[in-house]
Amino acid sequence: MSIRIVIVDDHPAVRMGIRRFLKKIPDIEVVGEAGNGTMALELVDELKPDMLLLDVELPDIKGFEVAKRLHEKKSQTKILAISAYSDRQYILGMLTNGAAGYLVKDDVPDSIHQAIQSISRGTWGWLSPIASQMLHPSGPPTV
Amino acid sequence: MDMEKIRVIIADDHPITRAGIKRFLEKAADIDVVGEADNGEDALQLVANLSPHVLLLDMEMPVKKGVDVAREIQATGAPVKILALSTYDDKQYIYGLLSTGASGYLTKEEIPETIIDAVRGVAKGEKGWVSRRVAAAITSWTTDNPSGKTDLSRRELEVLEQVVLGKTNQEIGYGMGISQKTVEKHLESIYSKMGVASRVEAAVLAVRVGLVGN
Repeated sequence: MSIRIVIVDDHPAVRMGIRRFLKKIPDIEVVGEAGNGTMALELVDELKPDMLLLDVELPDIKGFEVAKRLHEKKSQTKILAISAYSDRQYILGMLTNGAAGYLVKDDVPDSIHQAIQSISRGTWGWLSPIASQMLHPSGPPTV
Repeated sequence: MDMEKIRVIIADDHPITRAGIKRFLEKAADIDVVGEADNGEDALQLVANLSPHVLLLDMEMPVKKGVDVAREIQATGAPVKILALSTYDDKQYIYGLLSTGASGYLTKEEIPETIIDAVRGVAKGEKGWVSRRVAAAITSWTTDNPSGKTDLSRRELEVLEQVVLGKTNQEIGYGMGISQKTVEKHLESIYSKMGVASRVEAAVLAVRVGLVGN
């Protein structure tokens, strides 16, 4: 069965770019897109996707807050944060608010498939190479 | 007869953004993405090698920032039209870019149709393609400094009108019957009152806030 995904990013070009990369992967289906946090929460309610690819810097509700609200509601939708930022506070902020992984946008082409697969299998704390480097400069490799 | 396609180079450091923009542009049969660059230096190289009609230029890029890329292109006199496509709506980015003679400044919230229209527009030589958010920001900066709108003398407004029309100082002077030196003096005063640093910035602001007709 395919992994049903909703993409959340305020830039249509980024949503389209992510879609393009996901299209190459057979076991993944993009079922919706949202351009802000409010719409993301509505789509999760409505579509109950397996995973939310969630940008951090959104125009209305920030990614941290979206993740927190879903976590508080005990939503079954897993969250993979996708952001241009690799700041430690962003990574930790998303993980502590309920995201299962953090993928820096520059890592998307090489890592997005692995990220989605790992998180859908139940991994928590998945980090893309750049995010991992930021949290563990000399430490363990990506989960 | 087939129309020549608009040849575009996309410069952005994020592969997913480039992929998305490319996908958008592929919807337009008259646009051809001929190259992609992930940093400013490569963008300059591609412009030199491929002679595109339009460069879609991100502002925050490694090696060389978008504004510096635009400045270098302006210095070489390459005919490529520059359209910024940026996450940021900061004054320094917008003014910095538009003052290089770039044709427009879009933010990345834009839908594909707007990006396509802007590419077509700037390829035809149109200027001042800015996103609504950018236009609003420019207006608010001028409103914050209302002297720019109220203090211009009648003569300065006449000069500004000619600047918007793309006239050189010599042409303005000839048309108004004043010396080039006097035109320069008027311009200095206009820049100071409007809080801008160049004729392009003055022209963009003037049109945006309705100081003169477009």
